[in-house]
Amino acid sequence: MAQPYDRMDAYLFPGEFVRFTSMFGKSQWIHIEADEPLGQIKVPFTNAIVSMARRASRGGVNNPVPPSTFLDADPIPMTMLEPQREDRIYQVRPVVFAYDRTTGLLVNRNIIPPLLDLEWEYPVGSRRGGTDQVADITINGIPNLQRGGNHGRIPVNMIYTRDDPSEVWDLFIFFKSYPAFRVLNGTRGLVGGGAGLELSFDWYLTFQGRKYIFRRATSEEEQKLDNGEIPYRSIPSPGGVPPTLLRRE
Amino acid sequence: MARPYDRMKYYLSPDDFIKIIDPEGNSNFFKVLKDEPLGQIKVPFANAANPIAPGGVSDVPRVPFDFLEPARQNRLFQIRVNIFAIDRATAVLVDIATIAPLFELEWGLPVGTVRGGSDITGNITMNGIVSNGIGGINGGRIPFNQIYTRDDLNEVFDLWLLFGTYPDFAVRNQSTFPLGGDGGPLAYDWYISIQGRKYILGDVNKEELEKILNRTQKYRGITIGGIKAITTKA
Repeated sequence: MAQPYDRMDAYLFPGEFVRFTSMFGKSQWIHIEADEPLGQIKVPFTNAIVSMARRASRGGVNNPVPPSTFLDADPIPMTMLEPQREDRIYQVRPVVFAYDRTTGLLVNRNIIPPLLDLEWEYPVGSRRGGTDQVADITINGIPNLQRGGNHGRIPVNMIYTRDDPSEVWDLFIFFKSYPAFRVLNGTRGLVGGGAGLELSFDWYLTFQGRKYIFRRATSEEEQKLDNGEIPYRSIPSPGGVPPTLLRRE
Repeated sequence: MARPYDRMKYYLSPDDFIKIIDPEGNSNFFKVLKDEPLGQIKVPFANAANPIAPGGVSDVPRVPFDFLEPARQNRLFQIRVNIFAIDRATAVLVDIATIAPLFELEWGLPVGTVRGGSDITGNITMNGIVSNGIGGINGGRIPFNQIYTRDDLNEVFDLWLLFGTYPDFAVRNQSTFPLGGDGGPLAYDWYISIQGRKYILGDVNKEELEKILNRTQKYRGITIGGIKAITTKA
């Protein structure tokens, strides 16, 4: 059955006006001049030999839930996603998929628990997602330490790759900036590695999206935009919302 | 129940205004005068006798699809590329939406100018796995499982062709199985198919141009090929 979605809805078109707001609250009108799909860029993070450790079992009912394991000590800078000129933006859609090396098939997302997460920084070094504060929560006797804060992550089963990768976590990347990513495993399965294990597939982090050339709106256009005479779209703030520690609104 | 999507949404209709932007950034406004569907044009690229090996590529350089060049200056083709596979044992269509995105289409437009990818390559090590040369101007490809054949083809990778331009394609197999051939889970007959629409364009008159520039007349921007590679011009 065909799908009830519009694959192009969240992408920008030449001729559109866009308002973007930096993480420090500065905004600018721009006009999209040209576009091109990025295709798909793949970064493998496990294979038949290299796996990712599973989360430890709980030590007892009163013990905290053990933390997720992670691939890398820090998120890995994705330097290839930096536009090389000031008049360029990339709209990047991160997607994770798993390849079943025994069948050649894409692993069905219905078996991937939302405990396998993507953690992201943008610009590199600036952790994104999560809330302003952390808290220790005990629910039904299960203690959860330090929930919230920078614990906002993207479950990989929500950004699944078919022809409708999720636009919810789109990044708009400007000149002199690029994101960083790492994967966390909160499951009890071994991700990657030898055949026959629970989540033992070849896993990839991929990037799709669109690249654009833009120009600044002219003062005449800015006046019309301010007056609401020309429609525009706002794009998610590059870098996101500033943490409350840095600035009081 | 009505179907939940609009197959025609990203096609043009007669009387639409468009702005065509070429790969050098030059642009002009046009009006669509007539349209016609292309139907489907099929090109087989892998079968029992001609598989693509794991890690292999169908052709170097990519194969020019010169039959897609509009033969007059006032014509525009909108091309939607898709892939399908036939199970030769059962003669039925294979559901390639379930195939891992390691089977890819590499495309160039205009012919010889590779598209997709980012401005620069990166050397990325994740979980100790070293991946050198990721991304870059030839680093973006279209996974088969996003352009499979059904009645609402994926418009994200639409190509726009003018007089004097046509695309080229190659297929890459990054998986551990041959694509096509006589054995293995992907031993099907594989095809690239081209669908889309052709248009005749007319010039806009002064009054129409004024309305377009004043933003009282809507138009759609169309990029031919894509944006300039950084390496060609500072």
